[in-house]
Amino acid sequence: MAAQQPRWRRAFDSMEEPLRKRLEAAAGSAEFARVLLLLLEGWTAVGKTTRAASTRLLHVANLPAYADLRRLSRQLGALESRVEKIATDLERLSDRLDGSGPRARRAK
Amino acid sequence: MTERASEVDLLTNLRREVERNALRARNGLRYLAGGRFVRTGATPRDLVWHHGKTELWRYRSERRTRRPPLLAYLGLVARSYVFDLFPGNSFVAKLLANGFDVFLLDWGVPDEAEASNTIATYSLELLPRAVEAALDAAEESEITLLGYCMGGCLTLASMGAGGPLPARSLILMATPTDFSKMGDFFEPMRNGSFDPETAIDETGNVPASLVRGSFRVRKPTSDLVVYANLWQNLWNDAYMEGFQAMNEWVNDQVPFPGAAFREFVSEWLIGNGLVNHRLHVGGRKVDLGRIRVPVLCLIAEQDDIVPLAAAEPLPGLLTGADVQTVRLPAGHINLATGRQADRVTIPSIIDFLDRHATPRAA
Repeated sequence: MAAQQPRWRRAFDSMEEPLRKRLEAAAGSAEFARVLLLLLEGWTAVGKTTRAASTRLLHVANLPAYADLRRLSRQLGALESRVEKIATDLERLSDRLDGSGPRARRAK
Repeated sequence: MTERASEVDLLTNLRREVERNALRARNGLRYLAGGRFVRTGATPRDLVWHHGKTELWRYRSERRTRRPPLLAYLGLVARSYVFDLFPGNSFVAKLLANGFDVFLLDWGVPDEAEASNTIATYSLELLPRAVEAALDAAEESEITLLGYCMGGCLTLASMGAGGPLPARSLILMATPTDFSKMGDFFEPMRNGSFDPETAIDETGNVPASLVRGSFRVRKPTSDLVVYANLWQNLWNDAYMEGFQAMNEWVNDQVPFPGAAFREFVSEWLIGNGLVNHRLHVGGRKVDLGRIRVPVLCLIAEQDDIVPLAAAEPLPGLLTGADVQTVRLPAGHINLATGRQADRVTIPSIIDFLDRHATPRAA
């Protein structure tokens, strides 16, 4: 199969294979994961600081910040899932009361 | 004579390369311009139930000759269209062709509304409701559940916690159970030095880019190989179809709902609850011994996402079930797609289902 590959591909594979093995061994290690997590923590901290600073600036100008919109969005999201839960409970209750739901029908 | 033959070979090769380069140019431009070579999730289907962003689809079929129906689903971070990748490479289409009534459960793309969803939301609320809706649509009383990867974990959580699932049988594909064997990459998460809040963004979820990055970073040269393969096969329309569909799916993760992620890290990764028999979902203890229906465990031997050692203990944990284990020389993704799926996975599933299925009354 390898002999059917074009020359450039054979050259690529011969370089890629040892490189892949080394990089994958490194990338799969706990040390690498720790470095990644440190970078992630750093990135998160920088993002939080920048957002906090821009939020303060916008609030000084009496303007809503991105964080406010996200907070509102989360509250709406929580409300939406609460409404959905109530709808589910109601559906179940009516299913139990009138026995017309799928479970009741299958039980008959 | 030999000289003449080599001249003819040279000319043939030259002509082939010229033709291929013309096709490469055409396909390359089409690809760069965002052209579609194939449509993913193309098998005709109908939405039979939805709740929030969760959707239950039933695939159309003229010949549903086998029962019970089959409900397939993935975990929380991948898109469900891998089950119906593209015409000619569709897991769903092959099951339909064999007379099964196939349903697909799609958890949707979570946003702020799903940030507080826990594992129990999916395994003890949404999954049982989807099963009910599927049974209602199929007018059946039992179902076969097919959970792929973390979808299998949701099945185990649901049935192990005594969730009301009228399952005739279970199919668990590439399902991780021993999280202490997930590889060194997860060590900082397992030893508690990773704060899950670091990964959660302002929507309350783990962003899709981070989910995607966590897969890609472990395969540092995969992009290079993908582009080398692409260049080599750019002339081939059939290859381009598969490439586009697969490349799209591989890079199409969805956010991990924040509350479920926190629970996943503490209970599954750190606590290794399935193996240690200490897992609780929605306040209920998960006891895999409660699972008493026939189970087919499909384990991929070359899985780079769920290592063999992490998936292997599952049959041993299902102490009350009649378990059939099939180990395949496949990777995580080609367990459900491509030639490996055609040759081994699907025949194994059909064989298993046949032994636990009944023909549908005419």
